[in-house]
Amino acid sequence: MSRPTTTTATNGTTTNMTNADKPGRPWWRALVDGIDRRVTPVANNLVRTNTFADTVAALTRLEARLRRRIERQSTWLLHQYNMPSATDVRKIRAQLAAVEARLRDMGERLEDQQLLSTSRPPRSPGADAGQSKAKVAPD
Amino acid sequence: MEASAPSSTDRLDAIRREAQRSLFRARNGIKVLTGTGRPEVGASSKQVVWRRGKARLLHYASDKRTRQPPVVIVFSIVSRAYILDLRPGRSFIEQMLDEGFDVFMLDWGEADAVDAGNDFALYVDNYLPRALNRALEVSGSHEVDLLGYCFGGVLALLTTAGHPDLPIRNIVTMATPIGLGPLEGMIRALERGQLEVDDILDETGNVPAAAVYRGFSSLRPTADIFKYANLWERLWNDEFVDDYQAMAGWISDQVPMPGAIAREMVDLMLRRNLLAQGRFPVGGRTIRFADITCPLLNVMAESDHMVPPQASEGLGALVGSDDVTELHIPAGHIGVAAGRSASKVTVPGIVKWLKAHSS
Repeated sequence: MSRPTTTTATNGTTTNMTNADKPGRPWWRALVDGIDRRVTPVANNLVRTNTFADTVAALTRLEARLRRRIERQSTWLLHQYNMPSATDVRKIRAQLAAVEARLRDMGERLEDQQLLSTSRPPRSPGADAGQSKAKVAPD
Repeated sequence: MEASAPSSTDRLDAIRREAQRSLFRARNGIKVLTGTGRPEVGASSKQVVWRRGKARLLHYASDKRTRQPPVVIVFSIVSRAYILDLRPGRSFIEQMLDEGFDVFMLDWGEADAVDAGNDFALYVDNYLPRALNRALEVSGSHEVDLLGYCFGGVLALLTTAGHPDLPIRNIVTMATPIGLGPLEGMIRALERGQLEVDDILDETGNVPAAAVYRGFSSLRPTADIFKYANLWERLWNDEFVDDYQAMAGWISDQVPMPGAIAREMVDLMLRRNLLAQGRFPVGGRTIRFADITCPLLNVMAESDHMVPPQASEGLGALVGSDDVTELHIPAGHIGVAAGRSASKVTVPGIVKWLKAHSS
């Protein structure tokens, strides 16, 4: 089923261009599809091999190791001039995040306590605790 | 009968059409290159009825509600929830609303440094039960239907099994990984210990959004290239370009994964494969899928390269329910929920099953 694409021409009239109006396939499409058919299965199989996964893993670990080494050296240099390093900032951010997480946790516990205390029905004299949820039918 | 040669009028029409298409291509090309004129996404009217941390329970507005119980959608924690409400006419949620359902969705938000410690227990024992109780309160219903997509399905299953007191009538899982053995790509490096979660965490203690995106996109390395070929061919088509911008925007709009839950996933789901055995430690006790006794619909996407059907198929044998239905959809991981197959097959299939399993 064709879905119309509506647009307004500069003279104010409206023209519809439906999928029925679509051009035939461009000349380059067959070429692209051919490359896709040849390359994509090979590429998809390659990224699913253990070799590929191990290579990316090794590169990731290497990148992390290099980053840590650069940070250590830049930290040493900055500290010589009594300046904070990215590592210092990160530690402070982590501490702040931990404090905020703790506050959030405490806030949630308080909210739960408040909900619990407001939802508990008041105990009337002689009431059976096991029937605290029973509804009393009106007369 | 001989074919008649094109008349001069036909030729002029063809030239006019081609000139118009070129104009549309130029206009849409500028839109795509500059990122302007993006269609609005996640536009269905909704209200936040509950929040805790970054988690929000969204309640979708509708004047067509005719069905009970309400459906609570539990989304994944590694991507943006608006994929289920991408655009008018391309919205899973809109379709469910049109079918008369009362729809809620749990959106986990975007994790930052404060959320680095979020683990399974937080979602399963804290957020989900509270959100479900709030949905019951808002809807006035005494039970809910749960629908979990991708990792949201794992959370939905664990919550259902771990909290038998929750009034969950039915549970639907979509493209939900249970056994991670069939998953491919970088996840194998994590499984074999060639890579540890700590190697990929950023300074916030989370798995960065870019790493999440790369993990998924690496499984189809040529997809981006040939996607541009499709775009170039159909750049004249406004509807196609809007769909493209909406979807491309979502694909590049991933969210970080909390470091704590990433570590648990790798250790418990991937290396020890506990979920595939139907048991999972959460909050100091072992949750068993055998304790799930409500009806289950397990939706699997046949062309899913991220969560192959084989990763979900074992679920039926693990739950205690004797009412388990499997639904295979001819779609990919995203298409099962947000593509053409979603509107024509997935949603009608889910709706039919829910209607048959509601009072």
